[in-house]
Amino acid sequence: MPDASSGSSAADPSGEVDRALSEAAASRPVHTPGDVLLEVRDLKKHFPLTQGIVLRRTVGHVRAVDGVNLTLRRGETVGLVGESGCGKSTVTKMLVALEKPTSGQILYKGEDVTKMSGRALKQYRREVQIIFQDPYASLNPRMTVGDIVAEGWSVHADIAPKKGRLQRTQELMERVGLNPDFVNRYPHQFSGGQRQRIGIARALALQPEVIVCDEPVSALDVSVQAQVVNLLEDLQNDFGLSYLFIAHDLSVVRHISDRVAVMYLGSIVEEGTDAQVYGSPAHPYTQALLSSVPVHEPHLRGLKERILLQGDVPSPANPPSGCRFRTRCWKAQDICATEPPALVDRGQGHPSACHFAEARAVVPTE
Amino acid sequence: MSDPKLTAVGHDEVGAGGVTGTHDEEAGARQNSLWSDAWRQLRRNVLFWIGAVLGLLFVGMALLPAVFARGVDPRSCNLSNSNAKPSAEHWFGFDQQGCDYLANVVYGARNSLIIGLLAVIVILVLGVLVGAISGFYGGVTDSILSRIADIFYALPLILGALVVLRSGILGRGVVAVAIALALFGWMTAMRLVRSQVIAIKSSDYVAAARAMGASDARILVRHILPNAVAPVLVYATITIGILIAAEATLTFLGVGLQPPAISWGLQIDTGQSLLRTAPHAVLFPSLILTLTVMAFVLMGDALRDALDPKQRS
Amino acid sequence: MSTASTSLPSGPAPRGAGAPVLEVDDLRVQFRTDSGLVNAVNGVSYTVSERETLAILGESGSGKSVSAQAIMGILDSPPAEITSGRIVFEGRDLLTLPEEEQRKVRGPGISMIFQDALSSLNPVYSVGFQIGEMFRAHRGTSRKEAKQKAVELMDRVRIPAAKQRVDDYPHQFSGGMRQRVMIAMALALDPRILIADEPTTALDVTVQAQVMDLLKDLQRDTGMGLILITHDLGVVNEVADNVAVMYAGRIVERGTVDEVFGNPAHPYTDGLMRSIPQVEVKGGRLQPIGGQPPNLAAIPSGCPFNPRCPRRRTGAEAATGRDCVTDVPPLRLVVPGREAACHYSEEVFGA
Repeated sequence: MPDASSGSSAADPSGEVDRALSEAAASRPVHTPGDVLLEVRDLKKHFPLTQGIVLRRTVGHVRAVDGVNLTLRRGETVGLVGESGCGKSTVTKMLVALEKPTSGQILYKGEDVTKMSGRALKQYRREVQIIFQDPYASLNPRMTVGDIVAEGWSVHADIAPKKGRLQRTQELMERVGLNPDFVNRYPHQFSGGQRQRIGIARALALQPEVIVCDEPVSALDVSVQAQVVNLLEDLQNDFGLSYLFIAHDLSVVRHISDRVAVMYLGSIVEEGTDAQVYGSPAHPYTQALLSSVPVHEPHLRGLKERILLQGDVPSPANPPSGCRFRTRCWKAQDICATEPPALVDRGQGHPSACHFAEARAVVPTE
Repeated sequence: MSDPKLTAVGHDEVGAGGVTGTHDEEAGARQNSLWSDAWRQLRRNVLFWIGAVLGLLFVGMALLPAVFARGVDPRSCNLSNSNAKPSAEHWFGFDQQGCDYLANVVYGARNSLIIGLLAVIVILVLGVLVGAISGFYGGVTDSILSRIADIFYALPLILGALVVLRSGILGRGVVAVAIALALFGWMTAMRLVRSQVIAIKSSDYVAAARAMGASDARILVRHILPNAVAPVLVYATITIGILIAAEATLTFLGVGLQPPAISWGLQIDTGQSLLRTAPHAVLFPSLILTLTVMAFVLMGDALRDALDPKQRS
Repeated sequence: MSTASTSLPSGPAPRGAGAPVLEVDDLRVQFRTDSGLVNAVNGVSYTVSERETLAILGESGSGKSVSAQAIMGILDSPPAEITSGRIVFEGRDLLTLPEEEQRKVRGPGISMIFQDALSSLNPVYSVGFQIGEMFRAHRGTSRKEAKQKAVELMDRVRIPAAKQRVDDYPHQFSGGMRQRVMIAMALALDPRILIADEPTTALDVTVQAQVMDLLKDLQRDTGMGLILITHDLGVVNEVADNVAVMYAGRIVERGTVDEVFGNPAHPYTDGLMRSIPQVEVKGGRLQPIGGQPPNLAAIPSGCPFNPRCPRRRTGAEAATGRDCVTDVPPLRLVVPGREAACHYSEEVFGA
């Protein structure tokens, strides 16, 4: 990403931003998939369960993430959906190197992140940034907005020379839709949506290639969510960013993603373009998930197929044998208990991890 | 919505929403920082003002004792006045040696405050340092440091200081008493800092700093400590009062300051044998001692109320 | 305001509604805080009938929960204070009754369930004990019988193996099951009105669907009125008959869900409908509402929505008495069965 781009688009907000916005509207949702930036191979994270205080012994493992494969190309958005406890947050933490995987690889531009240290790791962290879910917890309450946004430049001093930092901070604030005069204010003086913009500016300051968005809008008011989603889209178009967008809100994920992966209990059960996954879901869990999403248009009410799942998600400390979903699945047979289904295309045009995969339209299409 | 309106959205936001919190329905007005916020809260607390005025009074005594002693030298004594009762001329009366008691009590403030402040500074340095390292690095480091703190906990403050002072390693001066007290008083500060650091370590903003490649030192100094310091300050303020009382206790027990030093503990010690004939000899130093301790406890309490994060959103 | 309060949307009869049970009239609630007076609820009126589901839709700070807490009498005062209004339940104004009397009326008559089931349940008592408590406290039922009833209730809210689980503690249940336990407690005394404050916000979508289904079925069986407080337009659409949209402590639009969502008459409702993405289609660029929800300590003059409103008219372009920046729009009838608090509703409605 060229240095000048952030500066120029912010320096002339009226003209430049207008143009960027109209371009954005025109260019979405078509993306030309670029080269592979980030590749996750068979990623696993098992947290040990311990007992005892003096003599700690491991009594088992929570298989939070159990064999996840993902690919993120330059300029695209991959959505990762799943319910609470499915392991999507743990995947995020491993991707931004806050958590070390138990096994598996995270390849960034061909290099294994799990083996990085020192300078290489620092460079990786600069290029792969994160936006957090909770705009109240993710900003240091004792730092001014300006200090928060500019902190990355103290760590990576080569990005911005000391002299022009204040100006660049204000340009960044302007770019994400904040009043640059508020540079000396503290986070608690802003609303949730504005705080999330501060978090976005902090990530942008490092001029990253990839931003991992961990539920970036789910803590915001409905009327503010769309503002932030649009901002993320604009920034992607302006700076050529790639997003890994993690969320439980299926509508938002569909809106922003080029490709979508559905997670259940530590592994991915279905993957494809948004049209494939939402239009013709092949895995029973995806189908149930989609059928549970309430629609907000009165004329679509009742048109959707109702699949009510029974029971709860099993504990990841003791997951079912074979297929993880079989305990709640209406299609389960003997084979599901013995053989874990591979994530492959069984003739639906996109991969799903079900022995009895079968495309089925669940949500009404107009 | 037409297109120009759409593009205005980003800037509209600022116009409409420079105002604070939609988070809770009782959001506050504009403030600068959490500290100035706390100060606003503090300013309206009557108990804080009582503590602050008392505290200033005693600090004034320590700095300018001659003014408060009405120009009387505590060491110019006249035995004929021995144990004389308080009068309009001599508000606190005289001690056994016939010295003006007001002057003696006033001059005692300096030693008490110096010991209290010095000890608290040592406690803060030790507590923050050990607590931060222990909480931040965890694991074996934490186990070892925490067990060391436990060992010191096993000895009560007064008993520990008593043993050290009796051994005579440090001598019997003001500094010696302060260090002896600090040596057995830093553990609570350390535990406070440690638990704060552990809590803040797992916050999202620390994760964000780590994710941008910030060093451990930077995370500790810029993110964790500024947020961990509030409860420690509260504790330190209250502890000054407790340490002043502890100094008096040690001196009273005969292991603290020695005559001819002037100290409230010494005065109470001498006065106790004369309790029946000259009750004022115990009453005045005790009263002033109590008020001093109270001043710091009140200020600390008010500070805790003002800094309590539960009152903030 | 008071004329509007009594007129329930009278267009096409709401699905299955019966006689009015609860009437809230011109309710106003203030909070006295360090930073000034916070006007959380500013003249809210609505009626809930038997078998009716009324959704109160609003964002954080819209006053939707505060109005419900006022009905339940669980506002902390101070700082909260009900400055005016009536809450009429089965013909009696709760606000004029002495406190003891209020409790006797509310206890069995109106129940409430909350978003966070875990913190609403006491961790040291078994769920069976806590459900049974309702019978022991209000009906003087014996311990044994209360437990029996608790099992029945747990069956009714479809907790599997109720007999075995009655002695379990709250932490042994999953989020969805805990929400069911809370529903069981709320239903114990056969309330006429159930207030559900964001009942499914903390739950996953698959579990949310189960819980909403359960609430609907229970309502059909008991004929109670349901007040559903939520920010989720999808939930409102799938569950409610009528909806009241709240903004800055006021109701800005009211009518049947079909009509309000199908053809909004207030720019805020319209903006909400446009701003959320759909799961059915990818759609184009989202059209957000600009700005931030208002600070209740400093509600904008005139129409509280005016700083964010794309249709705002002020000064010369406004009609007399209908200047969005100076004149507060009353909640008025736009077409039969539909009320909205906008000076220019007819334009929004047609659009």
